[in-house]
Amino acid sequence: MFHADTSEPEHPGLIWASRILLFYGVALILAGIIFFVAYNLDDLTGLSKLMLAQAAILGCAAASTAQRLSATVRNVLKIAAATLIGAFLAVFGQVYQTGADAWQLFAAWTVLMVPFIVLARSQGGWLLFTIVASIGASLYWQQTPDAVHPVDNLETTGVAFVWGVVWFGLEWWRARGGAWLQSLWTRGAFALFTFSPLIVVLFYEDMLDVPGHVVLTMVVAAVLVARFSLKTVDRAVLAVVGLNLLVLVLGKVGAALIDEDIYIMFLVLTLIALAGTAGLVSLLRRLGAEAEVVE
Amino acid sequence: MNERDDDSISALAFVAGIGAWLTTCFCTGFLGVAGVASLGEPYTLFVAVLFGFAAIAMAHPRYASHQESPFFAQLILSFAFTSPVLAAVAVMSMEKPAIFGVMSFFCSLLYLLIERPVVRFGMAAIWVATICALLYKHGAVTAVLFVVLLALPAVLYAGKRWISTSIRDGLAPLSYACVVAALALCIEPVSAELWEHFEVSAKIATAIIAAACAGVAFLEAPAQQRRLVAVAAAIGALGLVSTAGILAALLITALGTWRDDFTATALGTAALCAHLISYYYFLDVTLLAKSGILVASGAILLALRAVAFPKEAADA
Repeated sequence: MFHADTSEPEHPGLIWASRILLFYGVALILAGIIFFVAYNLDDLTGLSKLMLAQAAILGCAAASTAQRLSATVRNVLKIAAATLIGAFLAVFGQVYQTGADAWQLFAAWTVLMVPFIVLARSQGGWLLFTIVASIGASLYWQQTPDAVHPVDNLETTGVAFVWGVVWFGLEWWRARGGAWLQSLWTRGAFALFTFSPLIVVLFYEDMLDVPGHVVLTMVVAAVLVARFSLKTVDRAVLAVVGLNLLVLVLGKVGAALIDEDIYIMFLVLTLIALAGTAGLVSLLRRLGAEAEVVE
Repeated sequence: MNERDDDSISALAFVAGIGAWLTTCFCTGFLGVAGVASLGEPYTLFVAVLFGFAAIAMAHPRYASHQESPFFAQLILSFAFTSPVLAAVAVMSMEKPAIFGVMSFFCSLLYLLIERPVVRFGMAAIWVATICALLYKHGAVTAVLFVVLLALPAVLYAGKRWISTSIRDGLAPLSYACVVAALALCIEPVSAELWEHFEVSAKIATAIIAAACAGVAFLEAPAQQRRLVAVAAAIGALGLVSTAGILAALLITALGTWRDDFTATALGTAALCAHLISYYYFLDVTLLAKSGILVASGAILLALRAVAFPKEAADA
């Protein structure tokens, strides 16, 4: 905590107060401009709207090449340009009423943002890319005719597939010296969105018709556990896998017992949650300790 | 400790935390369902007391070594949260003030007996929300006045150097809960009809937050830098004629950074985002007017900076 000190020429809090006034002053003016554009959006012609979106993309792209700016700011500008492509495509669809399905917008956005994301060399950028691509994959399953995808409820599997492929690509890049990926802090998120959708699908009743999915889920779990407990220990990934399996067990046991005495169900679930958590924590702790010995 | 150790500890804490909350939910289900089915509401109250007692017992300093375990820590938190909620469920058939009274009693008791900041913040938040809901029956302004006036000394507490450290630490979670309540009450509601009721309370809340910030600046700023008092007062005055919630959030963020207090800064920043979104959908003013108010507010903040910090403004 800062304390007043008259011997200091400038109190650190005072410097911060100055910065906050600057930051929020600019932020409020920018917010005001956005509100102004929103107010006039209906009055703008289609061409003006498209030009506005394109100008924003080009502005961010051009600014991202300015060497005067720090590398972080330049990367943020590239990611901003990639994000604005989505706004441009939305405006395009609104102006020309193309009648295209939403998944096509996301698919086009995914393809068009690739150069910016590759150049940005940022894990945050790849997270954004994966989110957009997986929304596209999920919408594809919902919006295309059944003939294209005879099995329902696999949009979540599509999401898992997209996350898994991008994650695999980043790991491959990292193993070949991708310096900016050395600390892959997004690994927990990739594990979560690769594995959790597979577990979610197992809660659907009609998934009994697709026994292959159970095998697929177990194979993915086994691969993740083997990869991140033997070669490299990553307890975030193992925690995600373990918790998902625990939730699956709780859900299935709960569903099996719900027609019995409900308090028996709660008692059994309490015991499973306690035992599962204790076992998982103990396993993760031991794996970490062993990894330190190996190193 | 290196980055990887931190990640590993976070993963363990994550698993333990989720496990503790799952356990508490199922345990509550078991005790609640089994008891209510056979013994009715008195049993639920008994379970609420049991959970509260268990939380207090687990948080006892004797078990300090166990409390380092994330599972144990989360279990204390989840038991403490469950206790007042179950108590309210148990007395649901009573009049509303009685329900709030029972909840407040449980929250106050757990706040006093459990010295964990997160638990205390949770109890204070439930308590403040309960009082707001109770007082709202008698008018929003009364509720705002109560909570914000409560927040004023709580926000100012660290400036009072004669308060002992232990009391200051004990008050901190209450002050955060009051700040959250005050910021929530400043929000511009979407409905113009609701705004008629809340406009006065939002202005009052902003004015009192500004007064609190000016008070802190007066108490803590070095004598030659008292211009901060005028800056805080000017921002508060601006809030009275423009975006009350946005500027109140700005003041809390400024107070947090002044105090090097991450929690207050984070609360202010989160509130700022919420208020901006809420302001966008606020129906009492047109988007054009909002745009003008925001640009003017931003320009005034920059002008304030130029006046209060001429050297920094010239360097930028």
